[in-house]
Amino acid sequence: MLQATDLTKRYEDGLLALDHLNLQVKEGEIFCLLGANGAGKTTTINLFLNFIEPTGGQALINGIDVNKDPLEAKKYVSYVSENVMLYGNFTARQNLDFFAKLGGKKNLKKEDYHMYMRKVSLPERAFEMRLKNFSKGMRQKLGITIAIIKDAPNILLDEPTAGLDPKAAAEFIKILKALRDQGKSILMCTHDIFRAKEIADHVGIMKEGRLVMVRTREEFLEEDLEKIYLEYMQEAVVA
Amino acid sequence: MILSIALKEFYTNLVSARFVIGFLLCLLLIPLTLVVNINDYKSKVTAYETQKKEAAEKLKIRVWSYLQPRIVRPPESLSILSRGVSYQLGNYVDLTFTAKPFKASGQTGTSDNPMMGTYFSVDFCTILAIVLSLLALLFTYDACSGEREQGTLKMLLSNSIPRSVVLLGKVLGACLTLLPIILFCYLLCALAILISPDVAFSADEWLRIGLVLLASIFFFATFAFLGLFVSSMFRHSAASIIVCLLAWVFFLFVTPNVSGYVADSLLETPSEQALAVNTNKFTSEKWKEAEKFRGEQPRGAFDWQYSRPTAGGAVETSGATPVFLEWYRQGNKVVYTHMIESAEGRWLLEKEFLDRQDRQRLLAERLSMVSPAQVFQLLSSSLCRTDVESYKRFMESTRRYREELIQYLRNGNLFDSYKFFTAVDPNVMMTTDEYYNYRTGGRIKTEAEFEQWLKDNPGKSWNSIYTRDRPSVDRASLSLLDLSDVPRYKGVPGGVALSLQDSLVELAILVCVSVMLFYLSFIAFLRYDVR
Repeated sequence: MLQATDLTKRYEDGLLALDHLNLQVKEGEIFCLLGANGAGKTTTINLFLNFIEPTGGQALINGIDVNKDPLEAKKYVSYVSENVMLYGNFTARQNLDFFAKLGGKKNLKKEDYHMYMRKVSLPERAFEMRLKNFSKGMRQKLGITIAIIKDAPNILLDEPTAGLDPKAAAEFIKILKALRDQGKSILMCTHDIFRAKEIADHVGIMKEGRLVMVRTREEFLEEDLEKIYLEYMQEAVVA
Repeated sequence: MILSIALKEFYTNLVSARFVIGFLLCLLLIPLTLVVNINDYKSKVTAYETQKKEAAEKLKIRVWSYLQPRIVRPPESLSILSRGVSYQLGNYVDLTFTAKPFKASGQTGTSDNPMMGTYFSVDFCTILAIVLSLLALLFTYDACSGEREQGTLKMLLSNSIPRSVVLLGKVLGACLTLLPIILFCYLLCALAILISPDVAFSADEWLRIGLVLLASIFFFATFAFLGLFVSSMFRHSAASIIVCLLAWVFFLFVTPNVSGYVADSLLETPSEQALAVNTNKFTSEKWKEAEKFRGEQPRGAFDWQYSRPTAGGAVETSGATPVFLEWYRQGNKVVYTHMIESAEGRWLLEKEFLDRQDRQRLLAERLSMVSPAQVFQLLSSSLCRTDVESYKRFMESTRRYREELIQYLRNGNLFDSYKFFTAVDPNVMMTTDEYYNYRTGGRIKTEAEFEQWLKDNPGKSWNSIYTRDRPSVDRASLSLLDLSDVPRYKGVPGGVALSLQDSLVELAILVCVSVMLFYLSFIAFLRYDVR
């Protein structure tokens, strides 16, 4: 489970990037954070990964305060960035092997990695191909494979479908659904409202560091989410 | 975990263009440097053999006053690795009674052709310092900033791994990459030494090479940690590489030159020519003083086959009256005592000059120690016995040997012996009367008759009465002195322990700087903004 309690971040230059964020992502749930650039979505992810220290509040992963015990907390979380950039001179399998070992999975064999890559529909020819020859879609799939291998109960995704073609994005969403069905708690930051509507169990809209709206799946399916989102965005522009 | 990261770093470096270029650069430059240096060493050995023969010839002496041997310093075989100052300073010293050894003479420079001097100024350690310090920086400048830009650092640190482990893995990875290159270079060096028939290394010398290798590892660690530190300070690898390259140029090229210039400006030394004028004048005055101690030349004391004393005090007569020989013998003790004491006075002038030169050198050295490259050069030259201290030790050993020889002559009362200045038995020398009798073909029998003839023939040259040339002795036919019990020059003391003692400060600096840079990288990386 991922939980933010009054999570606040003010940078050295005085910018309030996150203002008392409260959210909870339960097991088997996908929480999509929507918002314009600079709304605080990536800051939230960075706080959950202890890349930056919070000014106030707590980020909890499976009940562990990330700021107090980051190493223990990170055992229970996987991360997929907007632009998965792994090691270009390594093959897909070598990259998986490296990150699997970092994630604590040490006894995996070549066949195991191949099996994982098949799971995310990576073409067979790509398994032993150097990553510098991968398309963005293939790299994103490899990124989620790393998360799958780590098998952490929580997954943080930062704009994972940005720049993907519709087919690749659809495949990626399918994988995320499967992971949710396995009981993973998924926090996904995105601009892509259509993908969010497709898979989210909760949607939160962030504006200027604050979570200004949260809706359950039932709620946002009944409402016009696009319209609400646009209204918030326009307010942001006017403000 | 550390090993996984280290292996990843190693593999990434291994397949990179910089590794290939670095490796090829070493493959090209190291053998070339070794060939050049081995050839230089060979030519130095040839020159040394010639000088040794000359020195042996110089010691075929008939009189003790010529006991002024030439001490030739053998070329240092380890100069193949590090030339230090060995090629800038002379390699032999001619001992004299009138001056303590001041500086070595002999050929300086690397080439027989002095106009080619600028083309042969690199050695193995210099090449290592230049190429591998650059490689160390190239392998580490983007260790953090590059991964941050690439986005892999976030992926890496999103796992449950302490940053210290990541950094240690990177350090180990850089070591795994650089160590084979360093070892490869030393392997090439060892092969070149083993293959070359002109170079033979003793166990002591191999041990020294091992120590230079150890110093190289610390040196490269310093640059690798510097690269890591810079990489942990900047967000962009472009900024890291610029800072690293500036640091490299500063440490490798700017610091040694600037420190020399600053030391030269801050501590001036008088010109050596001015010193030579002063010391020569000093010695010549002392000679004049000393000759006065002999007193008036007594009646009947004259010579006919005599070489005036050299500036160093070597003198030989093969023809003189017994009165002259006795007068000269008695004067020698006091004259040479005075000249040997005067050598101390001359030495004070020279020592003052050398001390000033040494202070200037020390200042330049201390200033240049800002650069790890310079520290490494000093350390390697010290371990290879091509540093200033080794030269100074050689000079000190020649001064000690001169004292030993003087003491030997004193103990054997040789200064006031006939053998000090003549190889001819004084008993067979012509007396004054015999001399005039011989030169005038019997017309004049005694000295008194000769003086009377001069009175009776005013204005006439006394040469006009001589009918025969001066009696002459073929010096080459005279027997040589037996020098078997003369103390031998024992050479320069200097085991590995002594070199280590000399280079302890440099070694400590390298270790401390590398540890400090590692610590700074560690702190910087703990605070590094991975976003």
